[in-house]
Amino acid sequence: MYLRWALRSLSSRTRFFGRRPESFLMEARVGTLLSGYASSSISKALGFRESLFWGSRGLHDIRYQIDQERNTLAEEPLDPFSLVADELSIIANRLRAMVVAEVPKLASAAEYFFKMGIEGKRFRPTVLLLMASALDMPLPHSVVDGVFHSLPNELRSRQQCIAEITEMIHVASLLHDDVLDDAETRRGVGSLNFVMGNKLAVLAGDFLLSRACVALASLKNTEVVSLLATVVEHLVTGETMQMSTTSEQRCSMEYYLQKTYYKTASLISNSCKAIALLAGQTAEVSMLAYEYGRNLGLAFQLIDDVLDFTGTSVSLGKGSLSDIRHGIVTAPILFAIEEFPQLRELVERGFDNPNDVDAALDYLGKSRGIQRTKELAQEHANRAVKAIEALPYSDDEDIQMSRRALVDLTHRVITRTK
Amino acid sequence: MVVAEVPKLASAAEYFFKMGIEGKRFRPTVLLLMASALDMPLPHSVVDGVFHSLPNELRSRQQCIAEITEMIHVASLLHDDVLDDAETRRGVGSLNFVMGNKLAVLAGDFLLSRACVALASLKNTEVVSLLATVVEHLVTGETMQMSTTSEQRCSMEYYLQKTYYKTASLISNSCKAIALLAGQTAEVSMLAYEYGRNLGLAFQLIDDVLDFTGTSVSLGKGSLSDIRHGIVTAPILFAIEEFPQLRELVERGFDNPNDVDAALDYLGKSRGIQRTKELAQEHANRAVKAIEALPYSDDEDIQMSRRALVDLTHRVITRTK
Repeated sequence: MYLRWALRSLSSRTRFFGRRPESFLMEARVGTLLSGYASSSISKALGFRESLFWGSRGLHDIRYQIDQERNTLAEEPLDPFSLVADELSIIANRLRAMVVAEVPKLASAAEYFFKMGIEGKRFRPTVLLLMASALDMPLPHSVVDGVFHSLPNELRSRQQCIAEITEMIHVASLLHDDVLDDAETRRGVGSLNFVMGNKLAVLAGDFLLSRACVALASLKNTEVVSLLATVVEHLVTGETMQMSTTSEQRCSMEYYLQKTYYKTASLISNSCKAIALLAGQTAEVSMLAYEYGRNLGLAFQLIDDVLDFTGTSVSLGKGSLSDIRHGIVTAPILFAIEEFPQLRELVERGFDNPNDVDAALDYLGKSRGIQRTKELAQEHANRAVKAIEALPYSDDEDIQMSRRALVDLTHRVITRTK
Repeated sequence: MVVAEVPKLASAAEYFFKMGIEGKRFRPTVLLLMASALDMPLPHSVVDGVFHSLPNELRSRQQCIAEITEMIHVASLLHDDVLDDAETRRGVGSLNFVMGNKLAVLAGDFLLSRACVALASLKNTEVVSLLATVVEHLVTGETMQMSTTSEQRCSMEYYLQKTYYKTASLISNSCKAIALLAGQTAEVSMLAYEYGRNLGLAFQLIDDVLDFTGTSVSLGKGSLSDIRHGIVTAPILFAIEEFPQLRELVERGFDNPNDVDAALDYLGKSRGIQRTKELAQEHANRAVKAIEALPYSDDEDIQMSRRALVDLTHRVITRTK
């Protein structure tokens, strides 16, 4: 009898013990994770939950059990990625379905990077889904997004769509970038242009972009369409800024940060904002979402720059050094130039000569370039955290957990070693 | 609209919009005429879901469609030239030849993104959908051309589908978008679409003929660029129906100039050229019918625009280059 009643409550959207049924799933899911189960599938979570109700004692005992879990969970370290793991698989499957094309060759080209195993860390979709959860506050009025969406499910799938669109835009830009850079590998496998030729890589990028546009249009929210269309423009502008700099621009930190915003942070910041807009949030909250994404993206790129020099070792020169070898001047070098103006001359020469690379590394090691870049990254990470903290308070468990996960992500971005 | 922050990108993007080499500006012409042809007062004053009090505002939105269409078109040209390693376009060096593949790919992306932003600014999601689908069609058409099995290469159906994607989709869907912005009914929007589609197909079929005949009626005076690139077009496809041996030549590809001559020989003996012209005429007629089916208007300007649209179908058929 308890089970039937509980299941009925689960299928309705009413609050259950003051919390939504999904929160039980979330807790149960996390619970199974903590118990060391490999999979966090919903059926397992349900099973876990069912077992709660077979207890012959009253419901108040169950509530006690759950409260105990809640306290335990608050102290456990969060894995942001596992919080959204199920949704990520759903999105990945939808992405693969969306890039199916009439022409087989185009399809295999487009889905090249969505194949199992090389989808990347799926960092962006993770951020976006967590942001969606973090902003899942009930609004004073029931009109969301200008249209009455009666089911929270509908909002969620629209927000998932943003995550899919973001991934498509990102992969399209990767495909074109690899053509532009004559790259041979990407994500540990042959780049598409290397494997199938430049032509198909250019086409596949165009195809993904057009699919993203169609998906964008289907959301029927012109502000969101605007935002993400602007992102595509920024990606192009950033790439061009990188390709065609005067020597004065190459040594300018301001130019570098602007380019970095365009190339890296614009996508994540504007899609965070889009998530907020779809949820019908105010302009202030949308700006906070934007600020989180922007600062997270910048922090990410700055640490990326450092790692290119330091790699998995703290000492210099163990990194791949691919930036400097391609003549790309990044933040550590720019900081070092402030201390060693002679370095500027090397930069202007380009780094075709390996001796120049060694000399530059030498200056870099003597300077505070690496440290200052890390400090700048930390500053952006802190601003990202502040943006989350400035969000309107909510006592909802899931919302708090998602926000903690977003904060945790900023730490991971800073402390990661690859 | 193609001014960019980064000067190099700007000069790349505006390469084909410079005075003198903008092309015949065929598409914008069709779209603006369609806008005028559909400029009928509607029973209610709500247009496009939003109250636009000034006809000027509608007109500038429709002009925006024309601009977006040109940007999408040029973006596809830029990428196509990269894909084809083309050296010239519109009588001057192709962008990739002059500035390198990289900048050409980027410039194409840039134009596409500007088109998307402009599209979004129209705040009409059906129009955004339509033109986003066009970009998808352009890509699909190009891929169909790049990667055909030999059976597909000899199929008229496959060829017409590819031609729709590559050529007619853009003009047909933008005609439809013009109608939608004007708040026209679904029927009228479909008529606008049908006009564009048939006009586009007729245009491409005559293009195929001219590639063989050029400025002379006799065969072989044309540039023959299609066949030399191994692209099989309507006249050849019709000729294969009369001379199955031609199919074998097609499957060999046309690397060997002797094969090209042999194919031209078969083509001359067949009714391939004539049948392609007849098919083009049929599509032109359907385009005219679409215009004639538009709701009657006694307005002078509207009638003049519709006559112009009909006249365009004749020019498409009778042109010699």
